[in-house]
Amino acid sequence: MLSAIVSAAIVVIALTLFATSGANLWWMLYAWRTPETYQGTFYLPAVREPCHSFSIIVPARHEVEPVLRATVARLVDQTHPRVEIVLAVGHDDPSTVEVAEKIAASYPGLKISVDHSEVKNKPRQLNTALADCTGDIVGVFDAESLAARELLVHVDEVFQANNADVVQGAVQLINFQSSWFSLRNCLEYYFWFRSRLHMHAQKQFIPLGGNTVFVRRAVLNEVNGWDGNCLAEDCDLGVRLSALGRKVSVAFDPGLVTREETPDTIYALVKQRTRWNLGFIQVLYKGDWRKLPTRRARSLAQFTLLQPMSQAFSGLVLPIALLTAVIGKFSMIVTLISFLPALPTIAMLGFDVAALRAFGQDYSFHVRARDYARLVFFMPVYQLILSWAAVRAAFRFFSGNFEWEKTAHVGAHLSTPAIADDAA
Amino acid sequence: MSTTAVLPQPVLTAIRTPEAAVRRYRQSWSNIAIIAALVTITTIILLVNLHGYPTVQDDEGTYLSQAEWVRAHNALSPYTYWYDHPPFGWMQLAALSWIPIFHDGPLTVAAGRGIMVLYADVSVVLLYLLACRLGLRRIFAVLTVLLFVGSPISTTFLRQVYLDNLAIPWLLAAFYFASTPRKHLWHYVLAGLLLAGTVLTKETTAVLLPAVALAGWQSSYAKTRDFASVGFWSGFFLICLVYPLMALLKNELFAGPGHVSLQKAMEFQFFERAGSGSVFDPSSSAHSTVLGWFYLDKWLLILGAVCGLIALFVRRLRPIGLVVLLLGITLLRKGYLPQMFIIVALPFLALCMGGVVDQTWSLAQRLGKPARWVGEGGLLVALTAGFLALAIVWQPGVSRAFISSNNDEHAEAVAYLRSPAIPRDSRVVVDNTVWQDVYHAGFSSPWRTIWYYKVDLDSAAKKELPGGWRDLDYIVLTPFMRQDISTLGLTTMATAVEHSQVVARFGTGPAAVEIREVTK
Repeated sequence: MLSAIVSAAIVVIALTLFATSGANLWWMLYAWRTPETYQGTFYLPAVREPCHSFSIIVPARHEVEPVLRATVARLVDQTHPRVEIVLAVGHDDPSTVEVAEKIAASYPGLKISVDHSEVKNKPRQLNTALADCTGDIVGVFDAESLAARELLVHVDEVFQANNADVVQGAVQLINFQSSWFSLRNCLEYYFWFRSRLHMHAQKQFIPLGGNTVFVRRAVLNEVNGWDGNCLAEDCDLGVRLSALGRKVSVAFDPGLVTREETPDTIYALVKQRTRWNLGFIQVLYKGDWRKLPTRRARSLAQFTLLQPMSQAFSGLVLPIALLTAVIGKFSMIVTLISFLPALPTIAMLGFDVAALRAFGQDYSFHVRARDYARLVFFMPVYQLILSWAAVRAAFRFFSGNFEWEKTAHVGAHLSTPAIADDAA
Repeated sequence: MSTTAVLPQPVLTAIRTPEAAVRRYRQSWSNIAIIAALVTITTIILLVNLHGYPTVQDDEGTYLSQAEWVRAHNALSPYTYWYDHPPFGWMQLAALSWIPIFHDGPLTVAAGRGIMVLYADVSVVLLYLLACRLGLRRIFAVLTVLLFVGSPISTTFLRQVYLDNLAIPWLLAAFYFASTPRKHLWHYVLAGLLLAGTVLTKETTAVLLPAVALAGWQSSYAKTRDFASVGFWSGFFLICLVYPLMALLKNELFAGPGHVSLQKAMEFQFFERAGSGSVFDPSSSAHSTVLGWFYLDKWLLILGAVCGLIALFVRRLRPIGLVVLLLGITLLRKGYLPQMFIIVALPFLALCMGGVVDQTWSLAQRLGKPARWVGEGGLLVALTAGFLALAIVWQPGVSRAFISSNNDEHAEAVAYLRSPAIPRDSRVVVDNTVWQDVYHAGFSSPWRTIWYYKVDLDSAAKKELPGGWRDLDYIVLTPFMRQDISTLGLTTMATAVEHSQVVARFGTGPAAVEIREVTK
């Protein structure tokens, strides 16, 4: 009797894990499904005259001058004619305010918005800065990101051609050779912006990113800007705009991505991931996704918002279920079924390798055999790190701790040699 | 302004345009009619005299009895399963053989052949669709199918319960999806899964892996090819892995004392099994096997092989030509060459012929006006003449399939054993052509109805038959068994036959089946 119950439990767990990891795998591969989906992920050639004005908010907190200056320089240098830059800082962070003022001195017209909120976080700084924006379109650029020169011209084209309300541009972590986990981290971004987000745009539910995201100012004001209490304000905005049926376009081009750096330590990565996971759960909990128009979009929302957690926990449950099935004396079919969830996981390793190759080709990086080996070899360890972050997030969620853990920026993306010529 | 975003032209395959969709819709009805006709023809060719021709073979009974054990006893074989073949083939048989028409009759094995007719029907549909997908004109796709099922070698082999026949639809489906015009990632994954199904049905088809991979490579889109490849190979390997995993879980992956193992079985299949010699050596068994095929039909084999070589030079036909080439190399390699080796080749030989004809037609159409008419006309005459000639040379073989009654002796022997003539507590040695029939006649244990092969070779025989040949009571001696006892050197069986006398004989001459009582 007990054995039958355990068998049934193993089968149910195995099938659930198989279904979720299979679906996840399938969505990750969206861009490479058919030649049409592949072509559909690209920016359109910019043929029209730019007709929108842009306000770009750069939220900064505890930033050092070289990092912020590099970011601003790339924005000032845009080929688009009408760009306004707003540096969003907090009143309790005088060093960054000072850095911002120094930079503003070299760029006339650059605005500084100082947020006076009691408790500081990114969405509150963004909302304060939004009030100073005058452009038709408001864009957000993280303080440590490098925009391509022609980005805004192409974004303008997408707004015009698709009659979009929101355009999400691609962000790419590029310092893939800094460490073994930066390699995996870069690849995660690659899958997400190169492929997965396009699927979300097509299925009309999209968790937006917090960087290189552009929204019509009118639309942003209509929804009262960002949620000042949310840890994943970017994702939340995406959910709310999707629920309103706003048109979101996602576009990619290796020459137009915004370059960023990976967290420099494992602990920093865990902190960042904990914040995201917690933010996703918060967004799920808020329930705006319930207003999505179709049942399909709603289930996709639930699945996506829970995914960081489910993926991490499956990493823990899978070995246990496998071990139980192998050690315990169950019928052959139960044991074989318990191996099912391993299939998408192993297949994912193969696709990781293919993606790393594509990543190297897209960005003209030389990917060494050693990188491929690292990629495969460290997969379980990386999975453990993600699980660790998920456990932390779950713990914080139940203890009600929604404190903002900020990622420090050291500027690793500035020293990667390959970026010297990226805007050529 | 320089555009960093250089867009390659959208690659819309012709099949995705709206006009093509309308055309496809119109074509689909006529396609269904064509397919229905081809299936009907195939069914008739195979179903007529299905039980009477060809002579039932030991292997057919082996697979069917193993299927019965999967279904009714939750085991892979009545005897020790020793990884001779992956069990997926007879699992498929098990899924169908419970249906009464597939096991009721004077001979269970003959009834089980009905399943092969179903598989051949599916193969024919897939062969037609694959031919169309490779760009063959419909008339030549039809020709391909007719060449496949019309040849007497097919009308003989396609009827028999062989794993190879079960593998063909899987293989054709794998090719079909690997040649996807939509280039969808899922199609490549599916091709990999289906190929795994093929190999797990009959492991020898693994030599055709490069051909299916080539088909996938050729059809795939350059920018997404890496992903298509990973999809294909992971689909293939991850499913294939189930087999060694199963062995591992049963602690039978590696060789060890006191148990069978996949490792040992592989060593046997690849290294220890006696080769059949060179096909060019008149004294070798490979030579006589090939002569046996030629006796049935040399035309499909020779013309198909020639067209296979030509197909290698035509891009769209190259993967199919590669199948023929790979099988040809295997044939010449002097390894173990069983009779059924040729089965998997048959649809591809036909497809190469159809493909080369189609290609020639395309060439003729490229000629200028008057020359083109001459070319097309000449080709039409040649084709008609060729097809008529084939029909004439094939007619005796097909008639033989329609009217021979090769299995009466077996059926009579079974009828005798079903009568009360022999006490039910006897141990009866049989070959697998009648094994299930005798088992169900009341000799209801694998060690009451004993497959002769196991008397000498099963690891459990020592325990079950401590007295050796003296523990045996009756032998149903078929011509095949008599020959095999000497070829394989089955000493216990040879002694038992020596110490036995005929109690009943069915038929005359070399085809006779004897029932012999062992005298102790």
